[in-house]
Amino acid sequence: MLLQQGYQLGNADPHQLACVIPLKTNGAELLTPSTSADRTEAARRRVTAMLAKFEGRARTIDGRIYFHFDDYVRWKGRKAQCKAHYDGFVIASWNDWVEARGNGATAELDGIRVAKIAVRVPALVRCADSEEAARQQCRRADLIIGIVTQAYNNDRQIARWCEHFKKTIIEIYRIIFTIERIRRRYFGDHPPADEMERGNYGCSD
Amino acid sequence: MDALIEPIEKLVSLHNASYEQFPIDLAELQESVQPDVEHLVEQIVGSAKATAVETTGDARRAGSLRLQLLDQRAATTGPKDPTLTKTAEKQSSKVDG
Repeated sequence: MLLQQGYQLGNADPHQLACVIPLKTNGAELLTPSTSADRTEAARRRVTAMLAKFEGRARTIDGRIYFHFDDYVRWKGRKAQCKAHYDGFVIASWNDWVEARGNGATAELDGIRVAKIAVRVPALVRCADSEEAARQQCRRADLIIGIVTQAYNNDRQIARWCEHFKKTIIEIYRIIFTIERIRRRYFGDHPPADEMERGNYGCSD
Repeated sequence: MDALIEPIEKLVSLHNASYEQFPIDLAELQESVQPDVEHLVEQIVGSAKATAVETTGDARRAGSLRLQLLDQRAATTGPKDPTLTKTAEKQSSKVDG
């Protein structure tokens, strides 16, 4: 919905379950979480109204409504056009197979030793209790805010880079002008060495 | 000299076209280095002179010249380099010793 309105969604957090952050609209206006709050809230209201039309299975857990995945994928009114099915196998199933057929860590498949697959980006984070979940959510939110803030401060980074660039130019000028002044003062009209090498200043009778 | 300055001008021109909000004024930068240039010339030429004097065998005078250079450098850029000072003083007092 936000994309249809000309927003670009920030990719500060590449996690599949992370909240998207509307950063810009049409690349012209930079929106911060505070300036975009009203627009985000309006979009949320429209989404809520749209999702109310969902007729598939749904459950409310801890005050949040969860749709049945297969029902949602089949729903013609869904806006999220994400890929619903991927080729491959279920990692948990693979690991169970390795566990059952092997020594716990590895197993042999068609003469090849195979190991369990580590889940690097877990879709679900296991927490001991709601306090730990809240702590992890806070940590993640802090990280995301840090990344987004860094993106907003892009101008400051360019300015810093620009100052480094200026310092480098000043150093180069310092060297060039010093060489030139020495050449003029102490070597008169003698040509620079590179011109001598090119043969532009041959000796004449 | 133009051959050396030209690439800088091209680069800065590209920068200024890309980052209009962060322009770089080359004339201003050139102006800002002028006082340093005279100092650097004195240091380089003075150092060459000290080396030339040293080759004539007059180590004391060479050391004295180097001390003068260090004083000049300290006056413009900050405290003297203790290692260089020690070397120059040693050289300067060699004949006295």
